[in-house]
Amino acid sequence: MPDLEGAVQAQLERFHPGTAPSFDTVLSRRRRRDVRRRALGAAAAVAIGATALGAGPALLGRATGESPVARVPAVGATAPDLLPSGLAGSWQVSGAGEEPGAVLLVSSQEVSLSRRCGVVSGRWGAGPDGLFVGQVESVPGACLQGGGAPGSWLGEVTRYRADGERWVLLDAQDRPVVTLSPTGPAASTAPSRSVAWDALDAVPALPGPGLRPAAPEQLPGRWVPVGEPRATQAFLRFGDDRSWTASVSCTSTGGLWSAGELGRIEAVAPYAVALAGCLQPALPVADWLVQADRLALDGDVLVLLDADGSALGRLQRAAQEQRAEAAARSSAPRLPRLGPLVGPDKG
Amino acid sequence: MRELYATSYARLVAVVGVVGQDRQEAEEAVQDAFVRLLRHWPTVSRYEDPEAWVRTVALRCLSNRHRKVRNGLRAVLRYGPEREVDGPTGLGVDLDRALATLPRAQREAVVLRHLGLDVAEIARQLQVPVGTVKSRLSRARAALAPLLREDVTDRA
Repeated sequence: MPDLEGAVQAQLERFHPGTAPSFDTVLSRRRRRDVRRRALGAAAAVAIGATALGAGPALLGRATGESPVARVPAVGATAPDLLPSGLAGSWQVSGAGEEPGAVLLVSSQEVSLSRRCGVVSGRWGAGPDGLFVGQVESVPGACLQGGGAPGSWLGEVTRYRADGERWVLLDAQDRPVVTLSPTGPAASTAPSRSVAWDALDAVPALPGPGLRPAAPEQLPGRWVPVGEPRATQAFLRFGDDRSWTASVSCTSTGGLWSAGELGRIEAVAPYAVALAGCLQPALPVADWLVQADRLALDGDVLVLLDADGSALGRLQRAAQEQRAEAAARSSAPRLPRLGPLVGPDKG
Repeated sequence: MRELYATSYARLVAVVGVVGQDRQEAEEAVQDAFVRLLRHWPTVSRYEDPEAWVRTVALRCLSNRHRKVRNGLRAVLRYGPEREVDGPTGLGVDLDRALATLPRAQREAVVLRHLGLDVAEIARQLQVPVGTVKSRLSRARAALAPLLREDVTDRA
């Protein structure tokens, strides 16, 4: 005879998942989702005309006679969702010629640099293996007086490492750019950092015997979706200066990227990654990049992989670059076959 | 924490799945809860039952998700009559459907009660008054009782 207990138990068995994804996969998925939501949410903000994102807090600070720096919450006041969680919080910045008292607020949504002139806003992304990418997005007009580019050091950072309670942000040559020190008691910071670090320690193997990690120096150039080179005009271009640009059918966009070992990639998307009507392009190459966890090469094809190891998209060198590559090979036959930009000289 | 994840993930998804009647939503909610656990692990690890903390957070995540889509097309599709979920057959069909159509809060209370939690513990985990839990359980039983009787009648 059916009873309530039996019915509940039957449903528990029915909704029981067969397998559980690895915890690392779960964490990586969440991080990618946050990045994607950040980009789309920001695009919506742009669409409604919220273009002066950095000026609001600065103006508010001046209107109340209060320093914008003083308005930044203390460590632990924010609830970071973007891993590694230890980076989230508020930090005093030293180095890179940054003014004394400047505070960097890192949240799951964005990064804000509070200076006397106002709040510089930007975006960031970071991987568990120390990869970092950041980009200034909005600078109050008051901060531009007298020249200079406040917060531009953010774009130089490619890696980070812990130094006790501090974080050191490093450039591509592993030179310190700035040091971040807690602005208040770091009780909530250190434990979450260590836990996140422990949980995110492993990088899974590439999903296929034919795949090999793409090295950073193999990326620069223009790539087009495999099999769709002309029909859509979609492309993704990696710059030598860690910039990237992409065409997403009805608009173009760009940002910064950082690549590390084992094909690891971090890329930040601009606020206006796409406007209304462009949110679901046929070949969302920009989304592929922002969501990608690793890049691998399958022969000459660049494969963008998500945290699960699933292929988000496959790109090949644009035709003109293939021709240039062939010409380069014919004129310099001893060059490796990797493309116009080859890896470090091992000779 | 990895051990807790490995041992409790599937169990939690099943519980949240029954409450929300959607396994995919359940997996999302449970995963969200574990991600949040990262930040709270130093504290939660000292609790007697860390899994209960994750379950509470997951159910709250589920509730938030449902609130967001309550008036949307997704909600219509999810709770519509043509759900493509493999269901049981036989005498338990009506009761199974009745469980699925209970208000989420009532089903939540029923499932937690099924897990062996007493009313006070359910109230504490859901952060609602004890009287509210009793009311939800009572209404759920009242809604299901006629169907149980029908099943028995049909069988007879």
